[in-house]
Amino acid sequence: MENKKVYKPQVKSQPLRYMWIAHFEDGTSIPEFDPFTFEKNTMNDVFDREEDLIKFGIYPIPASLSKELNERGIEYTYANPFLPKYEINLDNYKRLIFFRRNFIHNETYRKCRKCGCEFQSCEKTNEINPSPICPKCGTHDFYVCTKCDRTYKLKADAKNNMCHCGAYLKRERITSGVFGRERRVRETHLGYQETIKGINKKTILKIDKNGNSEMVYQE
Amino acid sequence: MVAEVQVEEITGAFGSETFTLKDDTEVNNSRYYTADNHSATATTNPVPIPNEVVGGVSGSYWKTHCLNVTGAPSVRIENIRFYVGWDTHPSSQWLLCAGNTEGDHVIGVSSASDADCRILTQGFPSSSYDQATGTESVCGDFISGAGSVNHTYYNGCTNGHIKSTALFSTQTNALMVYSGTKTRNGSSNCVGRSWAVCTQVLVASGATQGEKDPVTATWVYDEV
Repeated sequence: MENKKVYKPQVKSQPLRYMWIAHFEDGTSIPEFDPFTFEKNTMNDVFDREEDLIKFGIYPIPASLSKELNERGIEYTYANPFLPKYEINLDNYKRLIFFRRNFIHNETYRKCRKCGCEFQSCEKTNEINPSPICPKCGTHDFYVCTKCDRTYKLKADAKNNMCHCGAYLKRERITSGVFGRERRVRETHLGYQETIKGINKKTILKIDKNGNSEMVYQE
Repeated sequence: MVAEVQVEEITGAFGSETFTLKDDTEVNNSRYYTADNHSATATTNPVPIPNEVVGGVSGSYWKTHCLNVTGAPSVRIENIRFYVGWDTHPSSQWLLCAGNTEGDHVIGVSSASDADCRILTQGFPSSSYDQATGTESVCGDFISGAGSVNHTYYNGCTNGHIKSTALFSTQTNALMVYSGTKTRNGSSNCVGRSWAVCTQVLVASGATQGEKDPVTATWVYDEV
């Protein structure tokens, strides 16, 4: 069989795992969540003092803060102390770039009732109403006589599409059921832009929920 | 709170639309019919394959999807994009035609070049919603082009009209639905439905009948 795309599902909802803290020239800082009142500050509070901003970072949300935020219904968060922190120094007239990129995947997939494998594209049986073939175990829909329970792998195996006892065949759906699900993913984008020889250059870190990062340069 | 956003499918007549939530509380996929139907599982009104002798293309009724911002972001939402995760091309992945490229899965656009479709707004505002029409069980009207009734917004655009969703199949080449910004301004005034996209399946002679493989549709938005 040729290359198959086996479907790998992931957890649907993505809680907030990182919080930002902005550090200013006078030694003060603004955290996204106040550690004492648990109130949320917005990026507008940072933009208002952007000229004094010297450092901006994202940090894993502490477990105690996460617990309070969740219990108070302020924000749905998840504490993972093993996440790395990311900080950028905004010297030499660098300008902050920060946003969270959200993905909503509306996924449809098939699920093999025999082995549980989830998949999207696949080979199909050579029939008028083809059945998807599971890329893992190779099974597909089959047909059962409504009277004598005799099974047929393909409808074409039964003469005139009827059982040898003369009864009709019922399709047993093993792989042709389609299921839907929504999956959400969030990336944190942190970086800066600076003007070099009249050209605006952006350096951005794309950080996923596990703290993995990828650097992107844009002009 | 970070913004609360959900995907919805829009059916029904303008002014009395039905908004169907596409989350995972139940079967949430969208399926193309020759009817204005938001069901995820119906098997009635499939898209017929045109006669091989006569040829031509038949279309599903077009489908309209949008984002609905139900909880405001802290500051703003911007750069709303959409893509369909094709492995290859709809015509070959869904076997929508034989030996030509008339069979396709298309999306309404208002820019001529592919590059512009990725940076300029291609969606339409809710005030321009147009109910899908056609002859039930036979053929849907086309978003643009042949047929007496088209999508009013896209058919009225100077450029573009429709493009294959194969051009917008990954995050990096996603279609820009709305390039503007929905900004919170004191109150929750940036909640509400975003600009929408309109998609349609085109089936040409020689297509293979049957239920097609599932594909994933993805919405992307940036939030501050």
